[in-house]
Amino acid sequence: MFNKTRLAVARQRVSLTKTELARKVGVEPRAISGFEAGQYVPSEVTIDRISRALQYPREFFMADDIDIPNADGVSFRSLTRMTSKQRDAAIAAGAIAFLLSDWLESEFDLPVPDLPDLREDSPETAALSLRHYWGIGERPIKNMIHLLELKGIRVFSLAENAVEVDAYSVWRGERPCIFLNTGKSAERRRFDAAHELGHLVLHKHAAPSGIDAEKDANAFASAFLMPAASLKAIGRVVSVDYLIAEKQKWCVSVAAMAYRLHSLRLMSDWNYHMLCVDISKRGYRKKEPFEAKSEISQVWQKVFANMRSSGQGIQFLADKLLVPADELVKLVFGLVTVGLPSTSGDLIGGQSRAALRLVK
Amino acid sequence: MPVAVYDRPSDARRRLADLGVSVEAIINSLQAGQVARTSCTENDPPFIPGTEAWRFVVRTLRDQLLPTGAWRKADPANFSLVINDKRKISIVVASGDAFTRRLDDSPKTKHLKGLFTEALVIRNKYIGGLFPETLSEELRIAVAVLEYPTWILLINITDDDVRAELSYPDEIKDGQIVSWKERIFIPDTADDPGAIINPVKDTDPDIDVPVRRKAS
Repeated sequence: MFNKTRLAVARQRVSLTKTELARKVGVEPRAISGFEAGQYVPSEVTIDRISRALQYPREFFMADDIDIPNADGVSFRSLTRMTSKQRDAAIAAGAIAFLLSDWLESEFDLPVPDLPDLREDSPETAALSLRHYWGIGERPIKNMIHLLELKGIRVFSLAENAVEVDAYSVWRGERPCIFLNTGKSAERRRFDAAHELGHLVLHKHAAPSGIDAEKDANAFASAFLMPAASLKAIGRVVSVDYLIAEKQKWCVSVAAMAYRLHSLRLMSDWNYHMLCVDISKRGYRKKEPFEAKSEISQVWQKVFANMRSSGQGIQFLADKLLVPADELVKLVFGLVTVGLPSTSGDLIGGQSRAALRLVK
Repeated sequence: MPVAVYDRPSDARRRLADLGVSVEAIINSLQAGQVARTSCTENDPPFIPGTEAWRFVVRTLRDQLLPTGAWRKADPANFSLVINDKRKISIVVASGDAFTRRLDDSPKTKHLKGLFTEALVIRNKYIGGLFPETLSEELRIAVAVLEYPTWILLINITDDDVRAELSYPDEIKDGQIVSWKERIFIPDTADDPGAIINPVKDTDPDIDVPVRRKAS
């Protein structure tokens, strides 16, 4: 039986409008709307054409309903700069991620989610509480992704090739998921990860409301990555060079470091202004100085290593989940250091191969 | 006398079970100690991180052992003990040097000094109660206050590492305990996946995110 929810997901993943898909399939645009609304069922021939046009296996469209992240529960920081196509594609990636996550949970024992609900707290207090709850103390967080994974948060990649799509987080029942754009600097990714963590603990099961929620999540990220008590021990920071030493210690961007120090009144307004000018002049806003090593996932690394050892590859998994292998590669892109195993034991060939990179 | 060292996690767990000591309680205490240490900032006086770690190990150990009913606490002259009347043993927590939980040498206590430290070595040595006549009156009283042989939970906690052993002191020299009759190494994740330790360490490969294939 043709499944309408799956058509929408596949179409959004390849970033086609209904009209564009209709043209490729050779049907009227309203037919696609009708298929997605469940008003009509496509003929066998049309299903074949849809499958070819979207490059999704035919079986994908015939399987059970697929869970799609609720768009209201998803917040994007730079929503205003995103097109609806980009947004839909990013959310549809979540639907594929849910399939992958379900498989993961059926095959592996992993940490259970351990996130308190801190919606009553201010971002600063919530960040401090969470540090205390997780036993991190006042020290720099060396690896955000490992920490998130240890606390039962599923981390996926958003390989959308669009800087506008930064990151998002969503609860799937009791399972928190974070999607990160892995095409950014290591520092930006860490901040994005902390920002999304903020949404998860501050806005659980409540639709984040616009700009205030984003501000809260930013304040949370800043406080979580750079705890106030430790920064107060630094003293006054007056030069960019000093700022760079500190930003390397806390593994944040030089701009985020300056912002935090200023907000804690450890830097005068004048000083902050001068440093911001200097940071821009040196081009640090475009290219992070002394960029840290990118963080990768332990969960995916171990899972793929395990699969490889039992002779299973990404294609095996793609066949099992009825999705294109490319889609699975995108979900872990930049989160694993080695080429993903394929059934033949090689790296994935063709286009996807070019998309893989070694992260050192 | 040769030292009995229980360095393998399975042996250590067995020996701790003989003594009626919960490995989990110790591990939780060590974690609390490290969290306390890492919650200090550079504006704290320099001795505070070590003191805080020690304090939270003592407190957390008591928090966990006392509710079991098997253990009670006592603090004669601020010598903070947990005591098990059934097993007839006491435990005191002390900072150990860098050789704590290491096979290549014998660790020494760092700060555990004073009358009761001396008294506990004497008490442990002369279990029958026949003490040397040369003992000072003060020491004799202290020995009498210590009802049972005392084990030392030696801790060495840094920002990046937690090592501990429960050891039975043998000799004291210049106020430091320098040799041991028994050393039981508290297991950590490196050699015992059952134990979770070092929650703060989160660089590759310090944090270990457990991922295990389900048995099919």
